[in-house]
Amino acid sequence: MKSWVIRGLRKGVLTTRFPKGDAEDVPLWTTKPVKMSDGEVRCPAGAISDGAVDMNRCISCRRCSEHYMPDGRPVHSTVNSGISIASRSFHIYMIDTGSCGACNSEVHSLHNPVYDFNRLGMFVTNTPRHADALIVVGVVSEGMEMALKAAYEAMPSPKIVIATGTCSISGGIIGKGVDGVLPADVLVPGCPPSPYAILDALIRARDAK
Amino acid sequence: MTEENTDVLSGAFKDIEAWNAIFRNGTTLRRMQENRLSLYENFDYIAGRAERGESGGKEFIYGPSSGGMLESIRFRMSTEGERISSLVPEFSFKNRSLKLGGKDTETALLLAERINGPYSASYSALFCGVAESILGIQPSHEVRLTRMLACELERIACHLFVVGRLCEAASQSVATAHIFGLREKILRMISRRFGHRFFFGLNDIGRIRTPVDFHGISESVDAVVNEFGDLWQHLSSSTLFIDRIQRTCPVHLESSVGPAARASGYSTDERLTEGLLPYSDFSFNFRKEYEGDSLSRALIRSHEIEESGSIIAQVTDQLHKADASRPASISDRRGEGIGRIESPGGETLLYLRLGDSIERAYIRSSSLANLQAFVRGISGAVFTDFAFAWESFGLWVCEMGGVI
Ligand code: SF4
Ligand code: SF4
Repeated sequence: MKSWVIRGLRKGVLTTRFPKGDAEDVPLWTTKPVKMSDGEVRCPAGAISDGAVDMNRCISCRRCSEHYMPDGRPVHSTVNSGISIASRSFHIYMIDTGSCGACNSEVHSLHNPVYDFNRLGMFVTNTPRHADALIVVGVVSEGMEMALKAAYEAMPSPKIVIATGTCSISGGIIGKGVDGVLPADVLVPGCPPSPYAILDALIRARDAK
Repeated sequence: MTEENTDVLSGAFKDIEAWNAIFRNGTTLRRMQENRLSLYENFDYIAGRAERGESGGKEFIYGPSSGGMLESIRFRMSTEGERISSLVPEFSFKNRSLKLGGKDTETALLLAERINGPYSASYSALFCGVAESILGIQPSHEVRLTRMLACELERIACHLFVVGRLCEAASQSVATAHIFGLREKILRMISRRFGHRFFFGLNDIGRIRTPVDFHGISESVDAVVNEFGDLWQHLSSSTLFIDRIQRTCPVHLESSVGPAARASGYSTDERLTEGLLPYSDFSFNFRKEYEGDSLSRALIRSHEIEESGSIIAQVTDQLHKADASRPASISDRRGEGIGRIESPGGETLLYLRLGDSIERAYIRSSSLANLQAFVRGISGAVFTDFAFAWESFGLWVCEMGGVI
């Protein structure tokens, strides 16, 4: 055990300064593509309209890369309603309703020592019965619709639903999103959203007035 | 060319009334009757029917959404005391019914790279490789090397994830933090160089979509590999950790693939065949273990992290000045093709028939191929070993659903 501690000390601080400081290493193609030049673009997700990109539809496919470049700035989620429980710890439960695994992986990254969301008073719970927030990843498949509703029903109030990733928000190019099954209180864009975007969404949802 | 081995069924799909079978190393479809195919013990798994089985006795249900699992899957288990006597995996809950058939190659590629996001480099390289061979497009050497590089970086990230999840299951919290920290380093490096942490949008038919700066990749990877080697050595001396994974979920199944197969003494690795990517131009040490338990699977992955580092060093040596973004030539050729790639989970198989659009596609993922091994190995295990068994296979439910 002692040697593990020494190893830890030798490595120094790995944890990001975000949200107090700037986010480092934001994945470029999770940020908003901005028009740089004129030319035909066929966006497979229908995310571009009048030269502007709707990040709730964008699937980070780079098909627009000849005329659009991502701005490199962390994308903010839409917080329709929050939960305002800043005085106690915030518990989340993730439900995978039909993902490709990458969104799950990015939510899981919040545990790693770089993002370490426990330092912000946030914790994963193993049951929706103890959750304040339901993080939904993936499209809503036929087989998971009941389980999604059941998880939501099992949560105590107040509770929020965080649609995480383009699939969950709008269905992307794969299926249908959360909308129509449950009210999505927070939308976190990206395919997948960067861990920063998820962390930022959790903070803003929790601290919403 | 490696010879077809008709003892091992690699894939099977039905077209209207007839079944098409693909055998290990085989490059053609074989029409077969269902009664002959059902003699292969993995047929139900390969055909995606394994979840219809009976576990027998009183069932205990786990899932489909449960806090301990990363993805949604339900297990029906029969137990005798604290032992699992049998288990039926129900993996269709999250099935997205991905359909490549009827799509143009451009759209199908977007779906292919989202079959399993963490294996996206492998899936997109496989899809592009098979489509290119049908269309008669020869991508440049640089493009093929870049794909290989992406696949090896993906392998390191995924193997680190599996070992990290094993440590997490074994409550080795400090080791877990170190290993997930290393994986984050790799993902960030991938993101800086390739624009996306999971390589989405990188591969395109005949080309790489955006140029990549290869300078310094090998040094960054080396640092992670060395640090992991040190951590692994340390973990190996932890009896607490080793006791939990040694002799856990032992299994030997010839139809298994990837690290799971190599941990049971089988010499299968698509990187050793004349496949879609030029692995034969590079050297790496191939390793097998023989116990087939969770420890052997972890040993194989820890060894492969090091070997991928060595492949990356050799590849980037040739790549630092290459511009990989040359556009593809247009082709409207038609035809069919079978291709394989060694994803981090093992051999992944794709059959594609191209007409004006994709007429038929079939994918057999490594997770589907290895699910049977997990089910077999877990029988007789105590319930507390479940997590060490499951995590050691590194299975992804997202790629178990059929793709047509
Ligand atoms: S990255 Fe793809 S989905 Fe996003 S705006 Fe560009 S073309 Fe559309
Ligand atoms: S939003 Fe993108 S990354 Fe997330 S599950 Fe869907 S396809 Fe995968």
